Amino acid sequence: MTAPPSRTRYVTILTFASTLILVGGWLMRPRVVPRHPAPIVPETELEQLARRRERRSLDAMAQYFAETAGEAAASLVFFPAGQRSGLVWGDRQIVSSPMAGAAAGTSLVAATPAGETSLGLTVLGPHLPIVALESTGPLAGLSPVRPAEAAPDAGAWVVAVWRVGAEPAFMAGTFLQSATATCGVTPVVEVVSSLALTAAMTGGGLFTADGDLLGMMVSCGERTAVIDVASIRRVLSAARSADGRLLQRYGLRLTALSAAEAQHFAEETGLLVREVWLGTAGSLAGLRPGDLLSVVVDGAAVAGEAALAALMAANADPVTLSVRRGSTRSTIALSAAPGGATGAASPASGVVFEQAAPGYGIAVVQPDSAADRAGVRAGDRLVSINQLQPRSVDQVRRLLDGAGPSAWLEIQRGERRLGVLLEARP
Amino acid sequence: MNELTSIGLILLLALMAGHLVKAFKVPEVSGYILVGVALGPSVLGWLSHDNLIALGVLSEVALGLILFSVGSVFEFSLFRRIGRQVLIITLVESSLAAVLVAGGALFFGQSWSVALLLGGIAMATAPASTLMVIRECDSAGPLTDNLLGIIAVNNLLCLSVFGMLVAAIDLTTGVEGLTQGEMVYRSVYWFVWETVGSAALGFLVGLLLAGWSPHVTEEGEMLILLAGSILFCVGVSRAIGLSPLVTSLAVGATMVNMTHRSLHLFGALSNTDPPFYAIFFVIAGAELDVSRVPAMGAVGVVYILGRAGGKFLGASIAANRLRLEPAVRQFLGFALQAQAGLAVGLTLSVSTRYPAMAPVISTVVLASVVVFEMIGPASARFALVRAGEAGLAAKAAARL
Repeated sequence: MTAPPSRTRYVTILTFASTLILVGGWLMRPRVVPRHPAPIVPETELEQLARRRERRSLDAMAQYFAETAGEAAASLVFFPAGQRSGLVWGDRQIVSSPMAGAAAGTSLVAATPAGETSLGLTVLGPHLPIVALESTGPLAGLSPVRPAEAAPDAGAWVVAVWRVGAEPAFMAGTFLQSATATCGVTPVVEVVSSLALTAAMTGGGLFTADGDLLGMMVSCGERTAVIDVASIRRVLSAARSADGRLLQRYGLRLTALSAAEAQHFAEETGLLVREVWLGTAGSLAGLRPGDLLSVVVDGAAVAGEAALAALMAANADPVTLSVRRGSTRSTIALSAAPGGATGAASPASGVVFEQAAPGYGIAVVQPDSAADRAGVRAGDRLVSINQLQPRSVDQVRRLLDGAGPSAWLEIQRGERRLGVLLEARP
Repeated sequence: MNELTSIGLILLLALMAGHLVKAFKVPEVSGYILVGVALGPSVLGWLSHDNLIALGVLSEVALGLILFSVGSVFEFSLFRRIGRQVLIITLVESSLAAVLVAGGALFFGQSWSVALLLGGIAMATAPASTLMVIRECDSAGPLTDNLLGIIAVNNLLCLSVFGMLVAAIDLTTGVEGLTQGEMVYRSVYWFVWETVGSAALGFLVGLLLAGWSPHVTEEGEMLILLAGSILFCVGVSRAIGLSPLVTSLAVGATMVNMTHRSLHLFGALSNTDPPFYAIFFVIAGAELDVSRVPAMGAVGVVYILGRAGGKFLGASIAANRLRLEPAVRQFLGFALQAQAGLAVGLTLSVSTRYPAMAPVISTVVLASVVVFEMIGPASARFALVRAGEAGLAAKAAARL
């Protein structure tokens, strides 16, 4: 600094003053008031922005599910006749929910993305919650469903996809849990979700957000439920067993006699009719639980395994049966199922009367009683005792009391007649 | 685009545009600003908001250097000669602009506080673009001297008035959680701290610069000293809540009075700082939001007319009363039109302090800044050329 001495003094004073101002000023700072950082954009506009952002993510979500549904729809067909969807299960196989008017061996027309195709019913039974159909050739434009490897976590997104005509429809929700339940008479694992299921969705699939199949919507009586992939597989394989095929073909469950039954019926070789589904071939032919069958092959009656084989033989239609009911023996012709043909002609009045329920309703089954051990359940209706149809409750009691050590009960449960052997405890 | 690419692009395009606009007798500064507008988010979007924030540091350094240069106008002998008239002219032109703008805003239904804040902001004249035009025109003479003085005093005055307005509004409306006594203390404290405190810091840094400069002989070292001081000064100001503007001005004022080497120093500076200024003006342009202009409304038009008219009339009336040179009387008003960074800064401060007033003030000021930043430099150039002062600096002793 090249300054005269007098200026130096001013400079010194100014320097001192400046330092004092800065230090003093810094120390005298007023306390900081916490101030909410005020946005330059007005509050309302920010709210609108936030709402719009949320709206956009909702739209994106809907878009995502629509795309997932679109991909999943490549594994779905639509049956115009039954107004329901079906899932492509294999290269040629399709599974769906049972529909009225379909009979085993008949064909159904399915709408696929590539046009209409005809499918033959291969699995169909009064006891089954699902039906299976097969095409003669590969299904063009369709790809089989991709089953999910494990159940998703609770709260995971799921999307139900079905078809309404050619158009795929979908509904998104969240997975809750898997639960064991009974669909009709079949024990299944149900996939429970937040979705409100309706009959229109039956035959459609429930998919994960990645498009993997969790289960199929089916009708279980009045309600619609989703049964899981393992249950569908189980039902399909059971339908291919001898028992399953017999049920599908004639609506009958036949077994060999147990020791107690052999003693009761005083016979050892016949096939015992244990279950008859109403409206099926067996029922229409007049068979009832408790009947003992042998099959007439080339003029000779055969029983046991040979009889079963004769019943399932492809060319055996009709089959001639020798039937023993109580002490009477008759011969009937049994032809394969016209399947679920329960069409009731409506009377001229236009009124359809409720059919009178046969027998006597069972209100309570005491635990560990003879009936409980035999498998009778509350809600079953007792139709006959040792082939005799009681006319009053008193008569029921008399028949049961006078039956001796064992009695054969014919019971109606839903759409089927069952036979059980009631044994007094030895 | 990363920062280096954008800086490179800014410099090259600015140079090109500067050459281009010269052909139309428009100052280079306007070319830089136009390039900024074109590259900025409101037009092409090559410079994003993130780029602008990153480059903001360079912009602040440039503004510090500019005000440091402007501070040289407070050289003792020069200011003794023109100080009184500069003060009077500044007072008259700023007040008239403020009164016209505030009155117009009130007339168009704005509240008292909005009208007063708009008036306060309208006082500001941009030091940077005005100084750049003076340099580009290489001008010297009474108009140039007065103009330099006025832009220096004008900015101090504007900051002070704005500080007082904010203090007054705070006092009348109150701030949550503070007693009346604390309110008064806060208002007065910040006003004094931003002016006196900034001047004190500027003086100390200027003293350091002046004391060190005789020991620095090489021009390169001189620049290091200068850049270091300015950066330090701007940085400290921001850290402790002082005004970087006043501080830089004070450094320049101290320097010019303390050492005869100051002219040498300012000369060295003007040889090396053009890239900074180019970046500064391109960024200033990029920050202009052209799309706001149509939305300014009646208040915006009043603001532009009131400010332009107030500055023009005020400068003219004051110069006539003081019987200054004819060139000053006729053209000073033209040279005072530019408005930029300070007005934007004050608007931002309004936005954070009073969010309720922000929409009106932001719309009006940010839109009219676009207009003034476009016509201001051209208008200043017109004034200097018509006053016959352009190109005279080479003949007179270089002042800057």
